[in-house]
Amino acid sequence: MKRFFAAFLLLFGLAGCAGRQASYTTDFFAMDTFMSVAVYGDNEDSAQQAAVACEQEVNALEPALSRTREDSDLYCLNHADGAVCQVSDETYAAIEAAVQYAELTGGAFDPTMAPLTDLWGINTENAHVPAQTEIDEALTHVGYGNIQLLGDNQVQLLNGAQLDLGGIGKGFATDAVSTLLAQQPEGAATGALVQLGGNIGAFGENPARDGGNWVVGVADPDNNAEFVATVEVRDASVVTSGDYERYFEQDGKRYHHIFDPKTGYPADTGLRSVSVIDQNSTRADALTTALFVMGLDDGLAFCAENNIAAVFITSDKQIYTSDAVSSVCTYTFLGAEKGYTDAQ
Amino acid sequence: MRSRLKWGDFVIIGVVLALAAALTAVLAAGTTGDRLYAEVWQDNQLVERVALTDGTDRTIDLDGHNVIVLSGKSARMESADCRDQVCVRTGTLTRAGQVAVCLPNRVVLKIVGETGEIDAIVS
Repeated sequence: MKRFFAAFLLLFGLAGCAGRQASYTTDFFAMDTFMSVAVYGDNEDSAQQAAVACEQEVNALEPALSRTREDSDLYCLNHADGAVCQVSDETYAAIEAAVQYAELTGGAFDPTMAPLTDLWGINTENAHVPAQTEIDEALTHVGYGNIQLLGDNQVQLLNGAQLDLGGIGKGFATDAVSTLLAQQPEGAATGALVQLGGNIGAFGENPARDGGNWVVGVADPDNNAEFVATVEVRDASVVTSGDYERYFEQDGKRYHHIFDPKTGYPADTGLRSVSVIDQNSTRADALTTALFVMGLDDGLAFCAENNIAAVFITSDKQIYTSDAVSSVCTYTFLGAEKGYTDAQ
Repeated sequence: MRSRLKWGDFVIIGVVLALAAALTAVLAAGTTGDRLYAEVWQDNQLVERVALTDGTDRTIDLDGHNVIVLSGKSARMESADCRDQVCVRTGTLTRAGQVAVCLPNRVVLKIVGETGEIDAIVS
């Protein structure tokens, strides 16, 4: 009898050794996009609590970052006719970050592009190429220098400027989720894969892979269900901006949603997409846009100067990586069969 | 006192190891699984979860708003009545981690299951 009892213990002991981590995934819509948070932990209850807390955090941030919700700080600010507005801590922090990255990129990323994006109407029924006079007029209101951060959460917009934090909103939310996950009780969130629209956050250990890293595919601009390279990361965010999701065509020409603040037209720099790998998702978010606007040569030079890890895909199917890529992730080129060239 | 293993002990040890291996396989197959599934979500509700096998051949019509085709070990948003067509442009999904999203209709087609080359695609 003792032998059978011992055998029973051994059986479950052996099976338990090979046991897996519990996980919980929550999918939801927020910030005008689809989001998914998968949390891995020691048990399902705590993983669920952590995942739901992440979803709540994102939903709580939405009013702080939206410019369309009438109850939002940005709506108030954009309709204040230049008056000083009091905003929340989160909104103020996000505006500060946006201005910081606008300065860093010399305005290639600019959070005051709203008059232009509204004018072009991309992803609306009204999408069209505006008249040059309209573009010129809209450009007179564009420029991050019009944002006055006055301290004590007070902000003022000069010169008819309109603020849009869409360029960093999902990155800002990814960073908030990252902070929240780090605050979970030990074992509750040993790993997490956070997908907030085009922003991916890969945190902690991936229990499904030897070595515990997360493998993120860089989308093929011609077929974005597929990928042309992978980056293997841990505790990092990967963000892509491309010309292939939000666009319209007029007279046989494609007009996408990444605008050049200098011309008022979609950036036409021979790039299809830029992906940035960075611990800070807000920074990665702003930089993908900025690097796309800068173009390949200026973008690579900017990355070298600022130690930024970025993957550039050009219209002629060349894939370039900045020097910093090899220091923050394992990069694998996989695009040969799809006609891409590894241009290292 | 020195004890010796008898032949019956070896049988028990063998049976235990075999059962442990089987139990481990069952546990490991629990959530990640060794198969691919297509999940169709609408308004955050799971509408369908279909195992993708070589013989899969199904069309899921969400009241004419979105039509999803499951064919073999692949799935795609065949058509959608939305303006932007981002979901249709996403193309054919064949790996766990791939997602096609129709934001206007709040419909999500995702592939889940066996761990493949990637955990997610950034686009």
